[in-house]
Amino acid sequence: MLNHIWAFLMIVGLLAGFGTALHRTYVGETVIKEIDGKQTETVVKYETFREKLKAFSDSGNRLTSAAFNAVSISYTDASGKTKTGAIGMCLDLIGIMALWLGMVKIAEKSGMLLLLARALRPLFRFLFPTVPIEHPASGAMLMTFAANMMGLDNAATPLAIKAMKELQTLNGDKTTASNAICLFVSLNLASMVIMPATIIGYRISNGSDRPMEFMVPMYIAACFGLATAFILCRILEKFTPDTPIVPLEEALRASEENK
Amino acid sequence: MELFKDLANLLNSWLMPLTFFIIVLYGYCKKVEVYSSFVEGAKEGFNTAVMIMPYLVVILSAIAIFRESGAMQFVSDYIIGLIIPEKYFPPDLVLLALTKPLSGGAARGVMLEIFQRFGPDSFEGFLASCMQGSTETTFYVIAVYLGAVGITKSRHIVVAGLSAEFVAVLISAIMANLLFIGKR
Repeated sequence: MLNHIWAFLMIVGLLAGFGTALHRTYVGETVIKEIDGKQTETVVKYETFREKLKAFSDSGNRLTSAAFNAVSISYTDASGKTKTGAIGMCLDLIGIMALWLGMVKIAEKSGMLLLLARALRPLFRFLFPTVPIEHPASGAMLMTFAANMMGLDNAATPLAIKAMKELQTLNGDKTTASNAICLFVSLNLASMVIMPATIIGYRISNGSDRPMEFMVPMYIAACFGLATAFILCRILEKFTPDTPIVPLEEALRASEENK
Repeated sequence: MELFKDLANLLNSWLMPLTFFIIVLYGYCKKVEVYSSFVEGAKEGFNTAVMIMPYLVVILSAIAIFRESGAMQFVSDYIIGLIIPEKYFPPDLVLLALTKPLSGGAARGVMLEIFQRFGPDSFEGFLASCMQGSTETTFYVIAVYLGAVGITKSRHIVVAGLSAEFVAVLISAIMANLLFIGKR
């Protein structure tokens, strides 16, 4: 899917660039200039062959430099502002990510993530009635949610896969998602981040004065998303039959064998 | 409303220092090797940042070409502009909303592109941050999670996930428009 989108952006972009260049050369170009503090539009027309040739190659240069600027460390745009390119952003991000993930590693080793997971236990009985709390699946799911809350996308994925494997031991039909699995995945599809470290990092590296400003509205939007996922799951799971539930002893044995 | 904003600002500005304080204090009291743990985590952070570099380059260059060529303007004027009012939901954010379910890296690129052009504190930058934080990479997550255990019948997961994303984007847009009344 992304393959198609990227190809579309590139091919249509380059074709349109060619078209725009032709349009500029033969019809003329509208240039916005600031004269005495006022923005005025003037139409520049290219009359002679040499002017046309120059205008056409100029358009090509603009496309090239737009692409090169976007991936540079930093560049100056048409209005004279200094902007950060792709590599510059990564350089800024290295420090911020290192700082944050360093902190999280301490939290992980000191057992703070586990503590967070324990605090969420009562909520879990309500969300996943088919998953017994003594089965390792609930612990694994708690860890996944905790990692998501800390904004650890990369750490959350391995934890989530572990949780999925544990949930699968309780699932009687191995090729169909059980209600518990559906809800677990759906909740992961909504965001539950408490500390969106990467977004804050990017905002800082792009010169934000108020890097945390967006967080309260973001929480509200995320809560609505989570509620939608939960409510839809509870409604839609009635339309297709749930998979049979494997008895707890058997599931525990299967989960032992997985390790 | 003003007081609420100031309070939210206070909370936001101290959240990070306070988190650091609690983590380090708790870890130190629990006799964790805080220094070496930090280094271990920081290495991961370094790798993550380097890993995303090609993804950023690929998407940022494509978008730059798409914009500079005038194609973006055309699409926003004649296609998206007719459906969604540009003032309330600019075309760049439509692009973000469309890429987010497909790829986290690509969506990140789109968000950064918005930051570059409008600045992170602008309406567009604000809305982009909200959307980025309140949605997940739906198709990637479904593919990885279900793929890991070999489930092929996903039942209602896709519908629930995409609806959640749609609602989160909608609420983000409403909140951003409300907060930026009179500022644009």
